[in-house]
Amino acid sequence: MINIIDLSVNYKDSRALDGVSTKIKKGDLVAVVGANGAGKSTLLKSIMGQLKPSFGHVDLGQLSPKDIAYLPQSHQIDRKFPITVREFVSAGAWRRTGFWRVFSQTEKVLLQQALSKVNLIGVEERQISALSGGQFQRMLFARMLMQDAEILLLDEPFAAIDAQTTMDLMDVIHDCQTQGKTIITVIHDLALVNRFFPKVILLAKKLIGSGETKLIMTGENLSKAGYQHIAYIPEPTPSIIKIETQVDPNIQLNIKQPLKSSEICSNPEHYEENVS
Amino acid sequence: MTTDLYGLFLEPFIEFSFMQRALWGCLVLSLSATPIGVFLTLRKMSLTGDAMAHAILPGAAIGFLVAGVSITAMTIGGVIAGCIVAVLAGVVARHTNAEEDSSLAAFYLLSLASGVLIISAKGSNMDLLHVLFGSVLALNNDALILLTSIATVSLVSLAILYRPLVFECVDPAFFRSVSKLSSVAHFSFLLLVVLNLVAGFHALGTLMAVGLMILPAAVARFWTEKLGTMIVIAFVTSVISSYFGLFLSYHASFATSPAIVLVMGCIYIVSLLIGKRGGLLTHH
Repeated sequence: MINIIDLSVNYKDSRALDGVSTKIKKGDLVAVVGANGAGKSTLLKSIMGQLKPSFGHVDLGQLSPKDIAYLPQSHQIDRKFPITVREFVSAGAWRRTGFWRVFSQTEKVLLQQALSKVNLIGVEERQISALSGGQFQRMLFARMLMQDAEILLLDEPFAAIDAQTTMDLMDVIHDCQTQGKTIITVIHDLALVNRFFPKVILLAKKLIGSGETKLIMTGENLSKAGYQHIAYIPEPTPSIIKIETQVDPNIQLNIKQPLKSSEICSNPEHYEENVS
Repeated sequence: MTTDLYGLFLEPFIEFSFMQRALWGCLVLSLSATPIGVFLTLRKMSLTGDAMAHAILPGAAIGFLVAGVSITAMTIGGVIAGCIVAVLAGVVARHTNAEEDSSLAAFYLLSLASGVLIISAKGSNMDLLHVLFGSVLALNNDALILLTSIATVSLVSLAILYRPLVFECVDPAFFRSVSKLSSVAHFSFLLLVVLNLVAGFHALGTLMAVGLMILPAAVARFWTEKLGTMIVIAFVTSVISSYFGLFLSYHASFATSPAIVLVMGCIYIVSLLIGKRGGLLTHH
């Protein structure tokens, strides 16, 4: 059980998270949803103990940050660095092997299993720079599986990958859930959240709501989280949409000018890129 | 014919001990500086390396002021100055609005100017030339011991830091999530850069020291995608350039460190044109 108690985190002078309290039970599959700058990544980093809260704390119960596997946003990774898929995925075993030891037979088996679960058998010796976007994301999942941790934190695992890969990787997530792992995923695609994630944490620096997805993802809550345009527009019909620029003053979205009709789309990720 | 070739290519290095010392100095320097250079370029820190190379000068100059042309004093001064600038540049980049590259450029101009000023105030033009372009043909025992020690420390540290360094480059967010060594890896690496620049400073001078790091690494990137191979190619490039640099310097009386760097430069231009990975003429 992860118990987040009145958590506030500051970045330099600005507040990234403000008094967030929620509980995540063991074995839960939770989506963290919110606009850019809503504190989603900050929440994950606080759970890992990488950021010091300015107030409140995160209680991992009997577990420690060592029981956490983290899947970072793919844009933070230097994809041109000369390293093979095998070497990259092997890093998942570091908690067990340290930086210097040679891999045992067990680790080699685990590596093969991780690669086969994400369908990457046969590309082990390729450089990561040669992978497609989907393959790259599969590789990140393989490394996370290799970590074999109790808590999985995923930061935007489905950004910019195709539907098939998303479905395959959702299967991997479900597998992990049936093994009793606790999974917390930052995710932008609201349709995916509604379809696959039983629980949700909705953030806009403050906690808008957390609990069962059906109960939390209401139009009212989404609008509080800065999603009002998307929540009511499933398909864009550019000629008649007039975008409001008024936003809840508590939510610091930087909307400088109304979106052009060509910029409106149903993918919330793209939406956020436009407003930020 | 054989004697001609012997006289041309081998004799200088067999007859004259200063040529042997120069070659040995360049070899050990290549052994440690090129892997560091490969990591430096992969982390897109070539400019940082350049700035730090210049930053060593005022420290070495103060050492010179205190103790004259003393390897020990200049080394200690250089290492301290290099570390200060490495930390300062990081702090400035983090806490002000200035971009890191402009703060680096500011630091390096300041250090270069103050270093040259100090040396020219106290020493001769000859001293200044030594500091700027090194004295690879006049390496004494102390200098060779220093270069070899630095190479040993660098190689051992690199062997220990290899995996942490690789992941600090590829995926720092993940690395921080599994290890608290992230900043240890980062600062140990910067320290290794400074040490190797000081070693390079003694041999090639403050203006050319960074050449031995950056150019071979830049060459290697045109020929392979594998990190291990990259380091080997960089090392070989550096050794070949050192040999032919000394060779040209001996036969044509060129200034030695610019000759070495220019040979590297030629190899770089050839690689840039016909390199297997991204060369201009091989690019499809």
